[in-house]
Amino acid sequence: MSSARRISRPVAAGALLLVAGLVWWATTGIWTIQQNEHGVVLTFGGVSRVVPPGMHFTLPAPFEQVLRVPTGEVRQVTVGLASEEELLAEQFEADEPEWLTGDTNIVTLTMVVQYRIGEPEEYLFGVAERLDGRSRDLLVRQVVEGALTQLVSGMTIDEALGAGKPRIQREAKSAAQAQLDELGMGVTLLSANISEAAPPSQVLSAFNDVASASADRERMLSQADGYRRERIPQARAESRDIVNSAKGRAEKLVSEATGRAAAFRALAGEYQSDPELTRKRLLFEALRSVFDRVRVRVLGADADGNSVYRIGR
Amino acid sequence: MKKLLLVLIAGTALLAWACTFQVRESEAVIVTRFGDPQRTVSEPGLHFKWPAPVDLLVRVDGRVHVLDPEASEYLTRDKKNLMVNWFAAWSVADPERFVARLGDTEIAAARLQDAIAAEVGSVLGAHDFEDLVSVADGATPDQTALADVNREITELAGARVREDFGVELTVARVKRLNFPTQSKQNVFRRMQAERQRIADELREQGREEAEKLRSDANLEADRLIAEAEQEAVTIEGEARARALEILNQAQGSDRDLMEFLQLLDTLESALDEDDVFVLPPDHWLLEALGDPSAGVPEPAPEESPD
Repeated sequence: MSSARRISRPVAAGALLLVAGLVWWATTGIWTIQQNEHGVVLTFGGVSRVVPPGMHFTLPAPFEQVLRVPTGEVRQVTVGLASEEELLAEQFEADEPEWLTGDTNIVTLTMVVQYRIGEPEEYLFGVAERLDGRSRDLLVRQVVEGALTQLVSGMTIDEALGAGKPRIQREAKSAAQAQLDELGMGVTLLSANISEAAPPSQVLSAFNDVASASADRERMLSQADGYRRERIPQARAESRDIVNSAKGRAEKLVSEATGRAAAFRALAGEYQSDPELTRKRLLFEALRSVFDRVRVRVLGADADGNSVYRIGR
Repeated sequence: MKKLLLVLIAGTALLAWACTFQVRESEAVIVTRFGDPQRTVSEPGLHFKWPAPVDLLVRVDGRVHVLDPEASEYLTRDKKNLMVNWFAAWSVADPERFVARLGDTEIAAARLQDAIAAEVGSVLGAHDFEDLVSVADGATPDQTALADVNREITELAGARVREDFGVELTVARVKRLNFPTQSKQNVFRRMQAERQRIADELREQGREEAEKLRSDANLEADRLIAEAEQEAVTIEGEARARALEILNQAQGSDRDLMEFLQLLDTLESALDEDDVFVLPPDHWLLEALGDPSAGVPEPAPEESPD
């Protein structure tokens, strides 16, 4: 056995250790990027590339390093009021959701903003972490808040609570996105929705009264309209009756007259054929009813020799 | 021999370590030679230098930092008290000046906050309340009066911090604007009064319009009936005329008879119990009455009209 060939135990162990160390060192360059994230590769501290989900190889540390960024995660922030989770996580402070409107009124408004990390590289190196330890993402809320303050300061309270809500959502989102892009935060806003918009609780009843006053007005108008709908047909019916009964009376007059005319013509016929007799007959008929009322005396002698005697009364 | 190799490797590694440095992304590194700043490296990656203590490094964070102090009260030109919450975003523009004037990020934050707060105060104090809050139909956030004031703040504060500290101010603007709690009560009172006025107006409007509808309806109804009555009068009048015409036509065919009948009518209505009929015994009327013998003799003759 040649002594040159024999490798001593400590050396063999050392070599094995070295190989193991090298292998381990090499594996620090193997990375699996998950589905909902991207990897930012730093080469000697500077960004060399951004890699999508999957398996990737880099130079081992400390030459190259991969920072994982959760690009697939949808994050949410509430502007105006902290949500319960946010309060629990002690990430945001509770707030009064009050905003000044252009006509110097106060509205309460709460908006929920959803966003995701759009530019992984920008997100990591654009905006620094906060000194007070809270999340960097607080800036999203602050930017949206600023946009809302500006926007609502130009609106009337009626617009902000009513027809202006879609506009608030649309324009706050677009102005905030522009500002975030200017700041280089690498964040993409997905949606900005008003979750609550109301007058402050101290004046809520006065505002509600306006709504009920509007309802009252509607009610009064519809009642008056109802009255009109009854009255006019009623009047029409009445006027129809008036005209119809007049027509009835008119007919009666004419038919009466026609009847009398016919009677007269008949009588005239009689009269013309025998005037004397007709006169007597008519006179007799006329007086017959009268004879109950008047006194009748007859001239001339009767069997007893009296000159006047009476008939009837 | 092996030992020499080992020493050589170790030595090279040591040398490499001492003569190189990494510049991280968004970082600026000032290389000082014996304390004096020599060059500023912003390019990320690996760079070379002389080993310490010849070349020393000062690292400057080049990212955007956010300042976000608590709200405080500010006064406008027209003496309105407002609670204003502002925020600002800054980054290092001139690393050497920054290090010379401010040092590090933490110290910088405090100094910058004071400087910007002062600018915010002076800009707000130079504007009336209505320059900040006023209705602008359809204005986008960047078109409002407040946006103009924000731009003014950013510009003025930006110029100052660039000059003084070598800092780039991306934005400094009002995040929230409100009245202090004491003043809010007045605002709420005014809001209530305004709503009450609107409610009263609506109800009054309702009353007036309803009244008008009702009286218009009554007018219309009266008109319809008056028209009908008018028509009725006409119809009856025409009928009366027609009836008269019919009668006249008939009676006109025999005027004697008509006169005789009229005479009879007159007689009938004129006679009453005071009147006496004196008749000769052979008068045809007595016969016609049918019972002359029912007569009773009278003692004396009486007056007789005829």
